[in-house]
Amino acid sequence: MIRLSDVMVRSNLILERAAEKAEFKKPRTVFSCAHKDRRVLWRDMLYGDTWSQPKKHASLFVTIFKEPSYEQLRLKAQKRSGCRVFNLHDILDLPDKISVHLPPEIISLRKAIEKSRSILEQKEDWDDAESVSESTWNRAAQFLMRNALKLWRSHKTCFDPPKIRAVGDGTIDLHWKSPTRELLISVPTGSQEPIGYYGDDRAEGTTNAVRGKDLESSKDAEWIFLWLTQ
Amino acid sequence: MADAVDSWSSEEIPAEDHLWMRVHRNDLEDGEILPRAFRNRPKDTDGMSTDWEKYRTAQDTRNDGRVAPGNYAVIRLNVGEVREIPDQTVVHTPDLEKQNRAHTDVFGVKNPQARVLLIRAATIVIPL
Repeated sequence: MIRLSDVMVRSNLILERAAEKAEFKKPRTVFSCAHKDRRVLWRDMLYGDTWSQPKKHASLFVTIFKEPSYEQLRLKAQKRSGCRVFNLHDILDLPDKISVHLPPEIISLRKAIEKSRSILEQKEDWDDAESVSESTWNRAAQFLMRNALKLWRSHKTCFDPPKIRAVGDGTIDLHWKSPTRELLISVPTGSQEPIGYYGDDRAEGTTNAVRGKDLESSKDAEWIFLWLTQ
Repeated sequence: MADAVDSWSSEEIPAEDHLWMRVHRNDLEDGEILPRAFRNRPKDTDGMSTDWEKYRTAQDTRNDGRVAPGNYAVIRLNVGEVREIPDQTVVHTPDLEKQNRAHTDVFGVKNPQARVLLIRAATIVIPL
């Protein structure tokens, strides 16, 4: 026998869901509580041996960073895969208890990047030194993390953390040096200025060196970092 | 004390000669020179200051910095090797203001390639 209270609870639930759906259908331009403070319940991705494998039935509240152009795509990808799709801010800002589930190579890179934040406070008054701006540091950090993730996705490998140093003219050097290979990347002060680079195998000298002025948009980036890992 | 000189002509520096350059302790790490040691000062369009060995010793170069000599190492660069680095030119530019006849500028953009190759061309002659 169906009780009246059960029917009322059920119908209230249906009405709530319908209202919720209607709220999310509203365009972003319309003021809506759904878009105003969107919090999404995600399944935990920290499960098993790989960081991208979702853990069933475990839940985690995560605030979504609003990136107007990519957020929708990210949401769709997350819904389809059941995995959390990270953006660069996520990776750099993840709390340690979550980041330990990232690949160790990426964790060490992330730690090196975090450590390099100290160059923002450096006062190099011993010369005509210009301090590094936060935007330049962010550009360097995101450039490194973006390429590390790209390399991890495509080749399941990651490069060693570079020496990250302020140059004194406001730019940042990313420098890798091994007994055989050397790569120097220069991140300039202006956001529109291209990232210059030079790398070579010391045994070969400058003959097969890689050099250029715009590593961000160059196809060289992926294989340069792969070359560094070998 | 000798009277100050009011003019020195710029001379052609032979390729086999050497240049001295001060490197601040901040530009050295574990006894190695960092790429940032090589830059044009005070502006990018200026040159990188060095001293020609013909008119100065490495110790003179070390003593001529803004801070105490103990803060600097001195490196030696071969003129011919520097000239082989793309876009780098070595020009004798005597500094009358500082009465430094040895002053020599290495002009040219100090891009990543130039800085990596300058590190390889350099030898530390007076360590920290």
